[in-house]
Amino acid sequence: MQNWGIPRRYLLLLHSIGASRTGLFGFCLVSVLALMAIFAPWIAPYEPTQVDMLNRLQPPSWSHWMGTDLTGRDVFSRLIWGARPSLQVGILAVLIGLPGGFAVGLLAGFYRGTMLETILMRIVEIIAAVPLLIVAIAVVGVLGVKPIAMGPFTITNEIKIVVVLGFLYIPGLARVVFAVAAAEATSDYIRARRIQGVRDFTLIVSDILPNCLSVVIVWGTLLTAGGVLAEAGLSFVGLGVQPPDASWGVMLSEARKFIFSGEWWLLFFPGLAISLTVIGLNLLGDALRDILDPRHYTGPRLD
Amino acid sequence: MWEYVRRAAFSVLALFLISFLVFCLTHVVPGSPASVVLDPDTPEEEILEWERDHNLHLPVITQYKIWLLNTLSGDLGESVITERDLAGELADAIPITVEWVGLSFLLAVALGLPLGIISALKPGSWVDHIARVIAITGISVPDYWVGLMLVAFVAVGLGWLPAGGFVPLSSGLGPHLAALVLPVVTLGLHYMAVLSRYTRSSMLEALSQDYVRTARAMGLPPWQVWLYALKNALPPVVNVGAMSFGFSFAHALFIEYVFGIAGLSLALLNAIHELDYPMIQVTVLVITSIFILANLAADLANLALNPKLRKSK
Amino acid sequence: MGARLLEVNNLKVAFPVGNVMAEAVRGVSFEINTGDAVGVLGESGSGKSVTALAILRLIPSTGRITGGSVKFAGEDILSIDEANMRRLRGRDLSMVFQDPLTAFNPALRIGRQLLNVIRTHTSTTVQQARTRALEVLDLVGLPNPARVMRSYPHELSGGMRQRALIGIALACNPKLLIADEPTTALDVTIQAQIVDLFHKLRSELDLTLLYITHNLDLMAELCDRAIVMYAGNVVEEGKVTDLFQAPRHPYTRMLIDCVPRLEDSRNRELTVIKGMPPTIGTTNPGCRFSPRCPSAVERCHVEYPEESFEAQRRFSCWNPRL
Repeated sequence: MQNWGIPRRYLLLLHSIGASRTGLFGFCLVSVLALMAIFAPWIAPYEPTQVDMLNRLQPPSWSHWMGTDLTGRDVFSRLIWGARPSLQVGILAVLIGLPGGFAVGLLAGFYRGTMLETILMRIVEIIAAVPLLIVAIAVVGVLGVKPIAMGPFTITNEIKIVVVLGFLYIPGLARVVFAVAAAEATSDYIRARRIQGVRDFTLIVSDILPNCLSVVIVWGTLLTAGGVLAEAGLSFVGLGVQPPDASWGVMLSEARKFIFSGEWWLLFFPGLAISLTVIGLNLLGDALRDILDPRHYTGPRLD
Repeated sequence: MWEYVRRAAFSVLALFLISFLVFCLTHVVPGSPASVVLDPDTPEEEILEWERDHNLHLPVITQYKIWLLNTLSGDLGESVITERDLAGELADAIPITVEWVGLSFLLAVALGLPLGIISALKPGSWVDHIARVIAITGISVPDYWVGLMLVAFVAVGLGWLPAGGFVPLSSGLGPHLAALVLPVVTLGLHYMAVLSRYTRSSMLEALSQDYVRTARAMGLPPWQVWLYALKNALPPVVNVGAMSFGFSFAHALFIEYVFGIAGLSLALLNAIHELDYPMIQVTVLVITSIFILANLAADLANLALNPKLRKSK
Repeated sequence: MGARLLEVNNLKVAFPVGNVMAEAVRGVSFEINTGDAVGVLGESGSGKSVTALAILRLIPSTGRITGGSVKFAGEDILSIDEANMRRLRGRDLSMVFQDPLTAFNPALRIGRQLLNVIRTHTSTTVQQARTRALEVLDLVGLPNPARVMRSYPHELSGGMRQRALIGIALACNPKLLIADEPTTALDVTIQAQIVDLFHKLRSELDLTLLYITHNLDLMAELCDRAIVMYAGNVVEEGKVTDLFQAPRHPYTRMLIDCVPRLEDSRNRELTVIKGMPPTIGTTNPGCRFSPRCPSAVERCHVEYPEESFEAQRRFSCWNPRL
């Protein structure tokens, strides 16, 4: 294979995902949604906030594939644009939690048995004792849904959600990283490198960290799924994205008023979108776990 | 033993920290509660007086201490907005939530465990495939959406069941249960999916262990071999189950919102929307306590079921 | 020399590797008579454990027995139904596994596991079963049988666990006991004790034993006869004394040479067999040992050696040591 600049590992990974039916399905779902989110301005036939009161509450038709909502906005376009906050929150929250999770997990694992590990893992325990969603809701709710100006920055609602979620993800990531790091830290090759005089920091970053990548990828994917659900849920109860912006949760919230009058398309499509996204992410995460986690190998063993 | 005392102690610590965090948040946010409660036209001195009545002029730490002492001695104070007694409101709301969440959890266990076990015993069969599809769907699909869809089809479309609200037992067992069916099914299905997935993987793991092979080599009948595996597969499931129970209280919020059930979680949501800070404080505390209790129960169950964890004599 | 107890004929077992079925056991044949102690010698990957599992019909579900026959006490046990097979397992045909810690159910007491086996195969009262259980534990040399009954597997030491495992295997007086590397997971001192136990069981119970191991010395101590397996085939079979004094197959010879002896000169280099055993799935038409064999000739690489027979011996080699 020519050197395309992509490490062979990742190509192999993609191939393995392709080999598993569910993994492939998940990967396709996620890709479609990611593309939808990225190319929203070009794909959506209408502006998501474009009001057209004459055509409000129309069922799906050729001009509006998924119908129109209470102010005549095209549901399909809003759906496409709605992919953005969901995926953004999902991915960003994980990204924010990653540095914390890595730092805590690596340090605690490498310095296993010392006071540092004890302190760090106790803190992790405490944060983990907290029901994630409740605290997120409470914090976001209390801080209010309007953007807060703090100095030169404007903290929008979305940022608040992302930061809170990200912070609450740290224990989960830390634990997962800790398990790998602790096992690696006592392994012989690390001991050998230490005897060679390699500094701790170098060891952690260049030897142990790469081994943690696979668990983090799996866990991160699954947490992204959770993030999408969380964003949708928060928007649904009015604490996330605010109308008239488009988010699947907001669309569901608006649809609520109309279930008694039969405009089913307002309810059906956004929920379907959320479901497919999360299903895709979960399937992908499962497939990744099967591939990357050697413990799950169920092939023939021969003795 | 000490492990569990320690865990409990940390849980209590977490509880305090959370209450402090929420307290700080509510009192640090710019704009005082007074502006929410009182008319915008109220003269300055009245605002200040109101604030003084509610201790808002004191430093946050002191306010927290006062609140803490009050709470620990049972005085939960009054809602700033409604002026009703908080303890009373909670006393109304908590049993409702406990009841319907408890029922959905029972449903989840009753359906999820057998599904997971059968799925593991016959991997690759049609039962297994269906179970796995149900499981993935169940955990991925937002339950409030399912709830809304159920309302749209069953309640509105078919008219079989009421669309929401909570009918107290005093109005008759029939209506009481009828109103509960949809929310219980909604939340129950979700956790059924979670449990069945976990049971399946735990059981599969147990079945692949050496002792299962030994048991078969000793000629034990299949049902006994499965029991051997099950005895080892269950403790982690119980663990996850208890934790899920805790989570489901948090999750219940959305369902209570959809079905208009005046329970604990909805109280929190309303409190947030109304910026009723004392109420927020207390409900977060209660929900977190339940969550922590559930986790503790999970740990204790773990101890009871896993002989290896007991310190040997 | 007793009646023919176990007759394995051209047994083949295959597992899926990637998309194809690859043979792990490629036509193994041997016999055991009542009262014998037969060893199976081979490295990891030789297929010795799979052979044992195949006899009990306990190979992992992904694998399949693809050929041959196994007759136990005259009955073709590959074709009987599962219910009848289950009756044989643990009662007439028993197996002791390698790792006593994982072989026991960690969540049940030893006594419970022992009683379950006894009561499955014999219709006795609980009291009779308990008596038998205590008897058996005493037989395998456990000092305080009642206490062992009450213990969980993790509460016992490795040696005691293995004794208990052997006890369970013997509880219903099996006609044949298959032991798959029963001492590999144990300390050397404990190993010696277990080997002594086997000696005692052989003499007291006249136990027929199939002893699988990669350790020549242990095998030599316990067994009269041995078969040597390599990469799924039997390459040599004979009396243990004959194998040691005059091995025919190069592989057998090298195995024996590999073990350093006290009598050897200190300057003698350690013998190693160069190369690695073939992984499952690779095939070549000739003798499977030929890539590593120092006596290999042209024919070895292209044609699988026919079996040669001598007095109470057989081996498959084109160029044996004579």
